[in-house]
Amino acid sequence: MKKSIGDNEIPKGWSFEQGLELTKKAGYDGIELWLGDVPWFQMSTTDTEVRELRRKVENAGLIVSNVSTGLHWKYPLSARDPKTREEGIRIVKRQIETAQILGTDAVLVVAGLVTEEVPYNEVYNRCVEAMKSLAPQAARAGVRIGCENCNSEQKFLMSPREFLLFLRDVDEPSVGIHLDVGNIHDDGYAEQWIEMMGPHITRIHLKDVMKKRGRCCDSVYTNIFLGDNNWKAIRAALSKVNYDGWLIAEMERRYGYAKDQQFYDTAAAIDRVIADRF
Amino acid sequence: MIGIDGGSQLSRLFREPPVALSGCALADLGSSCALRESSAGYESALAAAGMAFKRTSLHSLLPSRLVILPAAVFTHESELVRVRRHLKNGSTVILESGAAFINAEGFYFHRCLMDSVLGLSLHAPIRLWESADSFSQSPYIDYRWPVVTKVREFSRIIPVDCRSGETIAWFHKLPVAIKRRVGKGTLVFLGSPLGPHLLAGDREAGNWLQAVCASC
Repeated sequence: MKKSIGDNEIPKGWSFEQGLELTKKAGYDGIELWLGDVPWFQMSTTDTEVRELRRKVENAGLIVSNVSTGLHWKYPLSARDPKTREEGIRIVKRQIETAQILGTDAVLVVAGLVTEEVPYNEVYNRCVEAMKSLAPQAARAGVRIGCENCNSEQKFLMSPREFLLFLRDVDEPSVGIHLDVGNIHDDGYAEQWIEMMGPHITRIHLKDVMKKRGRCCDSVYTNIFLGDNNWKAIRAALSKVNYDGWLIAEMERRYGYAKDQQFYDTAAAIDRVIADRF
Repeated sequence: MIGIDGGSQLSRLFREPPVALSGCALADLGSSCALRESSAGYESALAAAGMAFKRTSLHSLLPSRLVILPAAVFTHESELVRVRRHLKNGSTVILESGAAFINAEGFYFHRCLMDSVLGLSLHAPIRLWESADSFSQSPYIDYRWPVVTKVREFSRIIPVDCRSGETIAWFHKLPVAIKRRVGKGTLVFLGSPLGPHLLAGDREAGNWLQAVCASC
């Protein structure tokens, strides 16, 4: 397995190049690029500029693990307004294009958003339709779309059986799950999700979660090993399904001081996960 | 022997022979449909209920007992004149408005045409979820005809002046759907789209549609 970390974790005010240097020094193999979340990688970034990003990543001795985005929180594929949905589709298409340019084969999509306004059944149908429409482009590009399980935030596809049903309804090999082991909260157990999703997993986000809310002032998410995830079980499940892909660090809470230290600490924690040494 | 009045009635009958109406028609409005999933919703609901219908363009629409215009946004007078002709011939027309999903300029033209051709006075669209307190109350449209039921709103509504006809649905105190006689037919205007709910399998929306079908 290989280690990666998001470029949106690069401390504020740092340049992309400084972030890459830190990522490499901390021992990561790759970097996850977040379309729309960082100044150097926006929807307006041209193909030439994307190629330049790739060159910088490779010059730093890294590779791009995948292309993610947080833009679908604003432009959900499940929106009622067709124009918003179109923008959501345009974002995924650009993710696929840039993934190809960056030499990676996976993108992360937050597929649907159930809200008080937009109820579950609508979201489900629109997401299945959106994924079916995007799958051919992804397949042609050799890229897999990983729908992330943002269980608590999306209020969508809350259980692994439900997620499997969704993937079966989409029924496209180029569409799978970008599994975040920290997002499962108290709705289940990450290791069970890994077992059930198996070959559908495109990438894995690593973070920990404190299942009893209210113990932390502004987030239930925390650094690896500080929360309630059963890391031994997670590691065993990864072996069971023969997952040998990227493990991508995602930290919600950032160190208040010595911000670069979080890169080193997280890399060391992932090394312990990979080595199955707890 | 035919009296003078009877004769004039007869001659009027000869001038305006009754139009034979076929069953249900779902109009394919092309670019005049603002929400494609609304059209798909009606199609799936009619099929699921086993109701025979024809899907056809507005231009080639035959006189029908029920005409459904999903998420319609009319900005050309000729289209609405065609709708009015069907109404005068005795059709029940469900005109579901998609006008809350177009830009302000398009809505302005649409509103003028609806007023001048069909006598419907529409208010500006309201985006229900934009103000934080808009949903201190429940997010449902209350239908009173042809069945009493609640269906979810669809984020944006177009209130309609209640003097335009008989109010058949409200969002809280705002009339959002009316029906009125036009010629021999009945116009049913919906200011909150039902089609997407039909596509999502909403039971109450389906019941409402079936009840309308049964009533005409």
